[in-house]
Parts: sequence; C-alpha cells; structure tokens
Amino acid sequence: MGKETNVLKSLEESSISRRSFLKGLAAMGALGAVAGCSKDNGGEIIYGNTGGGLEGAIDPEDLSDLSSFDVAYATCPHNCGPGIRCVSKIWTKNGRIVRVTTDETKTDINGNVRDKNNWNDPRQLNCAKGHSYKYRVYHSGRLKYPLKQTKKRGDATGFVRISWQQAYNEVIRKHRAIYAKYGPAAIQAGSNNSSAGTWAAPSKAVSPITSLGGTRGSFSDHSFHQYNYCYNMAGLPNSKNYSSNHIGSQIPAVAGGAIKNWVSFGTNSMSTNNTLSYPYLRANQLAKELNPNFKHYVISPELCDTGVLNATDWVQIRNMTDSALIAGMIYHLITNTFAADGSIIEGGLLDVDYIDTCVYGFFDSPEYWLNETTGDISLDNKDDAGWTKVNAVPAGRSYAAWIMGDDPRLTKAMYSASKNYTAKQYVTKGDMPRASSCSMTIGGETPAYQADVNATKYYTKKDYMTPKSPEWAEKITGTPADVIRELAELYAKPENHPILTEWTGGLQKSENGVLTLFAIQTLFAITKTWGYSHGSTGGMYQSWASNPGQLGTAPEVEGLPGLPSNGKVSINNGSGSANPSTPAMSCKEHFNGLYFAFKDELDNNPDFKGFANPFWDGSTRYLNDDAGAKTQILYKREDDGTTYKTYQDPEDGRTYYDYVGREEGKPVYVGKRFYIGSAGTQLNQVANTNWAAEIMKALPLAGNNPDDPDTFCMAVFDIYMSPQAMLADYVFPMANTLEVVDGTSVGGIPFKRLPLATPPGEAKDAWDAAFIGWNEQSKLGNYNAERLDCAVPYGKTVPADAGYTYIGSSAPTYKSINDLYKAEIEKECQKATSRFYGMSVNQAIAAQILPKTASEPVNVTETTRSSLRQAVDSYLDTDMSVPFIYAAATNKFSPSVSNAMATFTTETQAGMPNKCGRMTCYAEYAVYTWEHAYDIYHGWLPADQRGQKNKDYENDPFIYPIPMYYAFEDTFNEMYGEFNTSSTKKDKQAGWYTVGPKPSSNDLSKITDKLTLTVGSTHDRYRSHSSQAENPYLREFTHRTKGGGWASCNDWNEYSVVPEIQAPGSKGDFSPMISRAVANKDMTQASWHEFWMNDEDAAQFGIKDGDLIRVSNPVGAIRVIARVTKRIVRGHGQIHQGAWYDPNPVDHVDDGACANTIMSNRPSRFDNGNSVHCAYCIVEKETSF
Amino acid sequence: MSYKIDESKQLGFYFDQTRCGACNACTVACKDWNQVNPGKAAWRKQFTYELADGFFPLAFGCNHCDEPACATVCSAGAITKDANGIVTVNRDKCQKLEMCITACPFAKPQIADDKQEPNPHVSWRVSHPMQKCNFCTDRLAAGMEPACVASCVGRALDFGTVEYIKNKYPDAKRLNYGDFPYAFVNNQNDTGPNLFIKPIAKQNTAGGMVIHKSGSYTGKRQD
Repeated sequence: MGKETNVLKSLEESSISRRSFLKGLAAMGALGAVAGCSKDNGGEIIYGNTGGGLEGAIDPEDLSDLSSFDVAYATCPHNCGPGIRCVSKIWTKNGRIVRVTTDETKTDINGNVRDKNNWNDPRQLNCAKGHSYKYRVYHSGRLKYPLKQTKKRGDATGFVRISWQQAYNEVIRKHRAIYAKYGPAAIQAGSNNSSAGTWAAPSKAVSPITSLGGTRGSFSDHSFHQYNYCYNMAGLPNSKNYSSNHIGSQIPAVAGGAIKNWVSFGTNSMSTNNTLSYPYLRANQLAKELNPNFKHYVISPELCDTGVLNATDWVQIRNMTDSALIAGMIYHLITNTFAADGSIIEGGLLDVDYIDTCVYGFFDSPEYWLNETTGDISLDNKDDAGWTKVNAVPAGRSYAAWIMGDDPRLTKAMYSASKNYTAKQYVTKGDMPRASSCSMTIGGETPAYQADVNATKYYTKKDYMTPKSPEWAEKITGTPADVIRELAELYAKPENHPILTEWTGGLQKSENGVLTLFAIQTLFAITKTWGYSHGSTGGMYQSWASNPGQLGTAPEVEGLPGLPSNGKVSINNGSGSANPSTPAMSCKEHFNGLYFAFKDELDNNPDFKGFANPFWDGSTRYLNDDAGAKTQILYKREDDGTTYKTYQDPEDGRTYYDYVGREEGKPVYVGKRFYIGSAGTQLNQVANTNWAAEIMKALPLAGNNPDDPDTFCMAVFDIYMSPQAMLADYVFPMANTLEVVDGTSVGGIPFKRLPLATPPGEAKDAWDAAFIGWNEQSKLGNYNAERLDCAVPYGKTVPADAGYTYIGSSAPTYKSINDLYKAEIEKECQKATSRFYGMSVNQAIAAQILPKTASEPVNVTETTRSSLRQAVDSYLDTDMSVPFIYAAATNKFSPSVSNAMATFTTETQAGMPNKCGRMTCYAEYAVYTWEHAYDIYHGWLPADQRGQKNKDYENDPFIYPIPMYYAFEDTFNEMYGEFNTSSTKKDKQAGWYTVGPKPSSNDLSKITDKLTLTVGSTHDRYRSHSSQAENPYLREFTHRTKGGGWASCNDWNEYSVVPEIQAPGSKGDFSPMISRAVANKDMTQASWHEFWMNDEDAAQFGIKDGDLIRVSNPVGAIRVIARVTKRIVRGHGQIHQGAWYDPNPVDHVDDGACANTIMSNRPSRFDNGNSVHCAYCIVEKETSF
Repeated sequence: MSYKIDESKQLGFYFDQTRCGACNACTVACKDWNQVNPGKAAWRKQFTYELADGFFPLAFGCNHCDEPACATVCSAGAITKDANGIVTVNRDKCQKLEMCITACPFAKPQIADDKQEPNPHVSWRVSHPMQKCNFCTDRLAAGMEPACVASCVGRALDFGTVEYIKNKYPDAKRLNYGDFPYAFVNNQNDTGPNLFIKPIAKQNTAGGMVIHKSGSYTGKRQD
C-alpha cells in the first residue's frame, strides 16, 4: 500500500488529515457555512453549532491498514419487508462508522465453496440502501435536541430546545387532558418506525405516554388496504396463504420447470424484495433453459428492472386498466365457447359445466336453496334448517352480461342446453338464458339496454352496451387485441398450466384497485387456474414474503442471551379494563379525523384557505360519505368501560350505539386530536399532503397550554427533521438503529449486538427515553379523570417507580441497556459451559455468525393438485348428473370481504352467496358491506345518512358486485370535481387552485393543448417508503440537477437542512424548505426527483430528458426532472413514492416531489382505502427555475 | 493472494448482462469502500441503456485497458500501468489537464468538485486531481474481492486474470464498440479494455424480449 492509495482515501467529508490540515481548515470553514450554523436561527437551534456529521473525524491515513478497523456484523438496519434481512458488516474506527460491506464469505460452514450459479446461494447481500448507511448515521439533518414549536407548525424558526423531561411532561399532560375529555378514540399512536430494531423503535419511547391504552387503531395499512379487504372476494382457495403461495415458495417450482408460464401484473419483485431478487432471477433463467416455450409476461405500464431481465414479453398497458384487459380476455373466451346462436361450441375455450358447478355470478342465475348435506339445489322456498338460500343473480347483472353488452349470443344460450346438475336444477321452473342484456342502470332507473348513452357523463356507463371485445379493450388499455387474445388462451388452455401469476401493490392503492384484484381472481376462477400445490395461481399477492425457503441451513448452536426487555409497568384501571375498546377504522380515516375534530375552528380560521379536495363540498365533517369516518363521535360506555351502550331508534326501530349528547342533539366530535409516533404516516405517506399540512398549520399549537384538551397535538419521535417532524408540536430526537443494541437476525441467523456508534447530541435510544418518560408519568401521579362516556372515572394508578420498573431496575440504580447487555455477554463469556467461554465481548458477538450451509437446490419438477382441485376434477370427469357437494359441505370456497367494516345493525345478510360452495364473480356481500358499513355507529346521523350511500353523481349505483372496469376518466372526474356541479360547491372550492396552476377545465380529459398523463407512484428501490429519502448516496440515483445526466444530484449537505432565509413572496408565512439549494435557487446543487415519461410523449410536447417540469392537477403540483424513456407506455408517467414533501413557499409547488402531493384523498371504491397510485396530471416545462 | 490473481498477469472484470438488476449496490459499495463522497465523481456507474433493439444493463468503471489512452495522453506522467495491468493514478502528480477524460472512450477518469471533495491534500498540485477505479488494490492485498464484485446482488460480476476469465466464461465478449456501443461515450477507439461481458439478448432475437406496444394516447378518450 503506497501513497497513491492513501490519497484516494482522503475524500471523506469529515476527514481532517494531518497532512491536509492547513488547506483543510479553510475548507472546513466553508463547510460550516453550508451546514448553516449562525447562532440566531432555526438551524442552530435544531442541529447545534457543529452542523451535521462532523464529529469523530478520523485520520484518513489510518484507512490503509485494514487490520486496524473494528469490523462488526449487523443486520441491515433497514427494515424493507418481512423477509430475511441482509447482512451488513460495519467497519468502525475510533468509534466512527467508516464503511459498510456485506456477506463476503466464500465458503459455507463445512468448507464448501459457494456456487453463485445456484439460485439458493445463501448469502444475503446488501442492496444500495444497506451499503449507504454511513450517511444515514452521519447526516447534517440528524435531530440532536428535544424541540418545542412556539410560533406556528411548520415554522422552523419557532422551535426552541427543551429538556427531555419537559418534553415528556408536557406531552403526557396534553395526552391526559385529551383522553379525559374525548376518550381514547381521540388518540392515534403511530405504529410506523423511522428506525428499525427493538430499542431504536420509537414505539418503546412512546409507550410511557400512551400507556392509558385503548387508542384508535386502524384496520389494514397503507400498503395492503385493498388487498386485505378483498383477497378472498372471489373465494379462491388459499388466497391469503403467504406461506404456501408467496413468490419465494414458488422459486423451486420455477427453477425445476414445474411452472409452465409466469405472468406478472406490474410487479417489480427484484427491486421490492432485495433478498428475493437473486433466486427470482436465477429461477427465471433456469425455467427458460428448461423449457423453450416458457413465457414470462410482464403486463405493466412500466418496464421495471425486474421486467428488463425476466420478461419474455412486455405487454404494454395503460395504468389502471387491467380489469378492462381481463374483460377483453374473457369476451374472447366466451365467444370461442358460445356460437352466435348461443349454442355451445364443442371444445370451446371455457368449461361451461365447471363454471356452472363452481362459479357463482359469471352467468345470470335464479334464486335457489342449497341443501348443506346433500348438495341438492331447489328453486322452491326451503327456509328451514339445513338449507342455505342463494340469491338470484338478476337478469342482465352478471359479469358475463356486462361483458357481452349488446352482443346477443348469451341471451340465446339457454341453461337447458347443458346437462350438468346445477344447470338442470336452474330450469326446473322454466328455461332461462345464461345472460340477459346488460341491465345496469343509467340515470337511476333506466336499464342500459333501454337507456340513451348520451344521458350520462360517465364513460363507464356509456360502455355498458358495448361488447367488451379485445378491440374494445385495446382502446382502453392500449394493449393490442391480438395480445389480449393470446393471454386469454394462455389462461384457458390447460396445457399451459400451472401459471404463476403475481401482482403487485401498484394494482391496488388505486381508486378502483379492488375491482382490479377481483378481476384477476375471477380470471383464475373461470379458467380453472387454481389449486396447484406448487405454482399455485390461486394466491393473490404472491410477492409478499422474500424467503425462498431453501437459502441454506443456519447452524444450530448456542446463541447469546436475549436482549433485556422492558419491565412493562402495570397500570390498574379503576373502571375494570386496561383497554377500553375503540372502533378500528381505515388507515386513511385517521387523516380525515383532523377535520372531523376541528371543523368549526378551521372553517372560522381565515388562514385556512380551502381544501385540496375538489370532490368534496366541505359541508360535512367527513369525506365521501365515509362510514368509518362517521364513527368518530363520543359513544356512551357501560360501566365496565369496554362495551358501548345501545338504544333503539324510535323512528326506524333499529339498535344503535348510544352517544354522549344524544338528548341535547349535540354529539361530541372526537375525530383525531392527538398523534404520537414517527415516520411519515401523517403527512408524507398519506394522500393529499397539501391538505394535511394546511390543516396542521392552521390549528393552534399544543404547547400554548399543555393542559388544554381542545388543541391538536402532534409529538414526533424521529431521527431527522423530516417533513412530519417539521410540522410537529414536539420533536423527540431518537438514536439510529446502529446506535443502539439490536437483536435482529442477520441473514436468518439469530444475532445480538452492542451499539456501533454514538447517538448525536441529546438523541437517545428508546430505553433511555422511556425511563425519562415513565418518571414524568410518575411525577404527575395517578390518573383519576372524570369521563363523559361512562359513570366510572378512568382511575388509573401510576406506580411511583414506574421509570425503574419499566427498565427492570431498582431505584436509584439506573443502568443503560448498553451496560446491562454488555454485562450479560461478559457473564456468558465467563461461563465454562458456554461456547463463548473465554472470549472478549466483541469476539463473542462476532462468534454468533456462522455461515449457513449451502445445499444443492431441491427443485420441483412436477406440480400436484390440491385435494379440492382433485375433487372438482373428479366430479368433472363424471356425467355430472348428481350434486357436487364436496366443496359446499365443507365450505371450501367461502368468498368474503374484510369484516373490518362489517359492523352492522341487526339485519342479517340472508341470501348472500358466500356459503354456497362456489367461487363467485358476483360479490353481493361486498355491496351489502358498503351500504351498511359501521351503521350501528350512525345513530347520530339522519336516517338517510347512515351506512354509506351506494349512489354516484347520477343516482346510479356507485358500486356493483362484479369485477367490471370502471373508466379511469370517471374516477378522475369524481376526484377533481367535474361531477360536482352545484354553485355552492364551486365557491367552496375556490381555494384549491392555490396549490397549482389553474387548468382551463376541471375535466382534465378536455384539456388537449397540454400533455396530460395518468400518474402512478410505485415503490422506489433507493428508499423504503420515505426512509432514506435524505441519504445522499441514494438520492444520486433518484435525483438530478436541471439538465443533468446520470446521478447528477449534488445536494449533499443541502438536504434536511433548514435554509436560513425568508423566502421572497412567502407573505410572512415563514415556511422554510428542507432543500437549501432549491430554496436558494443554487442551480449547481439544486436537484429534483426524476419523473419517468414516455419518449414519444415527450417529443410531441417538446420535453427533453433532463428538463425541469411541473406535474400538476387540481390537488397539487410537484416539480421534477423528466426522465425520457421507452420503458413507460404512452399516456403515463411514474413518480416513485416516498420523496419528502418540501413545498416551495413562493408558488406552493412541491420541490421535494412527494408523490402524495398530487394524489387525491378521495377514498377508494369498496374498501375506503387509500388510492395513492392514482392521479391524472398536466405535464409541462417549468418556467420558474 | 487469491487463486484468481497472478502478480504478473493482466487483471480484468467479468460482467453478466443477463444478471444485472440495476440495483446499484456495486456503485454505492465502491464509493463507500473508497471513501468517495456523494457527488458527481463515481468510479463505477450502472445504467440500463435504451437502444432501438433493447434494454442493456451495464455497470462498469475503469477497464484497466491493455493500452490505456488515459496514460498515453497524460503529460504529467500521473497515470501508470502496473505489472498486473492495474492502471493507477498518482493524484499528487495530476495537473488536472483533463486530457485523460476525453481520451478514455468510456469517460471513466473522474474529477470531483469542492463540495464533494472539501479537504484537499497539501501534497496535491491541483484542487481536485483525477481519481478512478484502482481495482481495490487494498482489498486484493488482503485477499478480498474488489468491493463491486463482493457486493453484486445478482452475482453478475467477477474478476481475475484475463486468462481466468476467458477460461471460466468462454462465451463472454470483450468490451467492443460493435456489441456495446452505448459504453463508448467519448470515442470508439479500441484500447483493449479488460472487461468481458456476457450479453443480454436483443429484442425479437432468440431469448430476447418481445414488446407488445400500446398505441398512442392523446390524453383524451377516443370515442
């Protein structure tokens, strides 16, 4: 190693080499200015006078001696999914992290050389996120001090430093006050963590505050809301069985050739699940080598990295049109099964007898009763025990009826032509056609076959009578009709099975995502592509888990002792329950809860300009007639504190939950009044960031009076001044994962370690923080608040020594978890029987890691069928003259939707066909759930506002029970207010144009002089949601300077730093930006996020790669750099989710390009979830920079 | 020394284009190991190039050419080729004439700016002397693979003597303009780059992808 090498090591920002000291001194001065460290401003208060990442500098000359480093294993500190964590090796010197490498072992525990050609090479190699972790630890944006906002939320100059004790004291007092007045439902404790690991997780630090319990939970989450709602909508077997159906478990069957074909609806599995990526890729290669006819179709608007390597066919499709593609496929199958005269074609593509037997709702069908023992079907009323009623699928309302439109062949296809038992029973009281003309209504009453299509503004309805042919689908999807036919036959022909079908989160999180997922399930059901033990296509979300199951065997050896866990302070509840129940609701309703709680204050606040919700008139406290949002009042509880009182409404005779203020006609609006947690769930990760931020800015500060129950409070535990922390009342600085003890497995091997770095400033791990929090809770004494909802006070006892109890210690001896755990390891090393005997602490930690044993992959060469599938196939081999009872008797197919919304009044769902022993494409129970969701909570509302209206803007059903295509143009017209025509609504909405340019029409499809694109917001491989958005090594891959090429981002130390400027034109509303370079318009350093768009679209509108562009709609606007590519279909653009919201105070355009800034928070159809992959935007060159 | 290294024989890299998932783990691992700060200088880069006949992932840095054009044009004598073929820059000698950058067909010599490289060495003659891949000689000396090879999630990278690579990967093609035009950003000269690539199939050829292209879309529904 010579000098030449040494100089190459001299580049670290923090290095103050002795050799370079003289020159370096001047440079350091410049760097100090960059970090923004004058005494009297927000930057100094927030970050201290050292700037970020400058402490603990090492001498670069020392880097040449590799043996002088401490090298410690760590799991990748990044929790990007539920699979195996990758292996990190952290190289430290003088207590400072210098490098991150990964598993470089060349041999397994038995000395075998690992074979990188095996798909099960067991090394879990870090991705770019893991390798770049040094800059997540040492970063100018790290929080170092507890902060309290004193001016206005979002004003970084309003933060003052306070002690940890004061921070906990004030937040606990606020929590107690709100809890006493509004009950636990007003409290939301965030579950997301900005930092992974037990004692890095803010949830532990939050626990002293939320220990009263019963806070508002949510069903599902931002990632899988629609999937969790509808994974079983069609009743396919094993549709939610991760362990047997996830993509990882399919790898052996792909590699072994058991899987004949692979279809990916939009998935980017290799990017989303790094640990899965290599087995996925290798298995795909092996399948191609084994079978020259193997196809891997990627059906997607974007050719993602997974597609580039794995696809045999990229089927281009416009965003959000997959259900139209499937409709076109099914039309092709129907018309190749039924002749024009309705007769069944010999050897047709569909197995009609199978569909009659196993799939409900594909065709119209009569009301009938099913004998639960014999499987007999009777059209006679059998309302007695042992029989299940199955509702009719009304004439012209089945999935096939919608697909056929005015194509008459199924109206001539009579059930009497079929000889299977089910069909024969259907006609015992007279013959009927398989599908009548489409009878869905237009204008409230008129069936489509009689209606004038010009009477509706909805493209969906204009198409009711159009046959959903491949040519129709081509117009919608852009996908060539011949390819649609090819795909249809792929699924229909048994010789192509099994097909591994995977889909991704991007198909959901869209306004009509439930319909799309339902359509895919329906495709499986009617083409009989389900029920394989390997290569199952029955499952839905197949790329969830990332453990391929054969990634080597971890040696079974003795491990180090477990990490100390908390002492779990016992709090007694005088009212009999530690956790009074609170109704859970949709993840996105927490967000809406702010307006629900503070509508009156906001409406009377002149600073609150309006709503970025063009679809909503602001007259109600909730969006979109959302049933979950309507549960946010204070209900009366029985004296046990856990159950709600009920009452009978004299008008309708139904039973509702009783509520405080019923007698006076004044319900107590609870909504959301207190948020505590971390990460970006309140702002960055929810749709419509502008609206959320505007509300939070407009509400009075919590800290004005910590005992006032009527002010909103947001307390954020974070490691950075993230957008959410910027808007907080209180900010708690937390340690990063590498700065705390950790007990997460490394590459699947149990592993514990001590901290590898020191938290900056006053940042603390959750152990130290919780100790302070519990002490403050103790000082405030017992909690004996009166309550409005119950005669018995809360009456909770807080032990005087709660702090010590929590950390499992005795007063006055406080020990940090680091000291405690170090002592545990030392004890282990002194045990003569331990395998760690005689080792030092560091040696013992390192000795935990033993490479996994590599093994020859066990490939699956043939698939087997499940017992249910075998039973179906056996039945189909008979003459089908007797009932098929196998599935019905044991309830093998049991379609359903999430019961989270199913809190109904006393009505039952009689006749809902979810126990008829069949799969379904007519989900009547989903419609019922929609119409009645949570209605037992809705007694406080007028009768016509209980449950949810199933009416669109033209008085037709808002949802139908079939997996139809809902035109995206209609979706956007609903979102952007085109269907709202009342003048009062227009007046109310005048404010929403302030967030972006004013389009010439609300109906964006009418704007022809500008480029308009659908926009999706998929995951980014260089972030995990909004975590690591600040990391400069990773920003290089997503950000560019204006006109810059690859990785031209140059905003290191310019991001997550509060610029010390009053932005011109901000009208005194001091709203500093996270990016100093953008705020200062420093074009050598300012960078923006890439926006991927089609090359032909770009050329047509004069946009070049590297241009700065603005992407806007009536909800919001973002500024981005055009990435012009052939990998995006025409008419579409992609902005990856997770970039930090950073609105420019001058023009309100989000320079951070948080995808949610352009996403409407109109809840999604069916499930009231988040539709954050779903925008329609004007795309134009930016003129402001 | 690793079994793949011979002090007197030319070293090179191998890259399997069918396995590069564009994850950029190598790019970051390189910067992190070699302490290259965030900023425009990056010793190796990954990009998935788009041509009319397909999409071509490629991740590479200096190819330690047989006839390094950078060394030839460097009048300061800062660039030398070692016995095992590693092309090295002595940053103390660099006068930042930048001729090496344009001479290199692949533009792999890099220059940082003040922001990326705030602490100049007293031994440097210029503020930001050229820097580039040094084949991780410190890692090689310690028996480790270069940082990029060790980090490659897709197992697409390998290294060793050219002899080793040719034996182990007989189907690999040496980097050349005809097969990999997108790599040649400055000129098309054949400098004998020691990068051997297993190419990904082009569209509509055997093993290549078929694209089923959607029609144009004007932003207005076609009725």
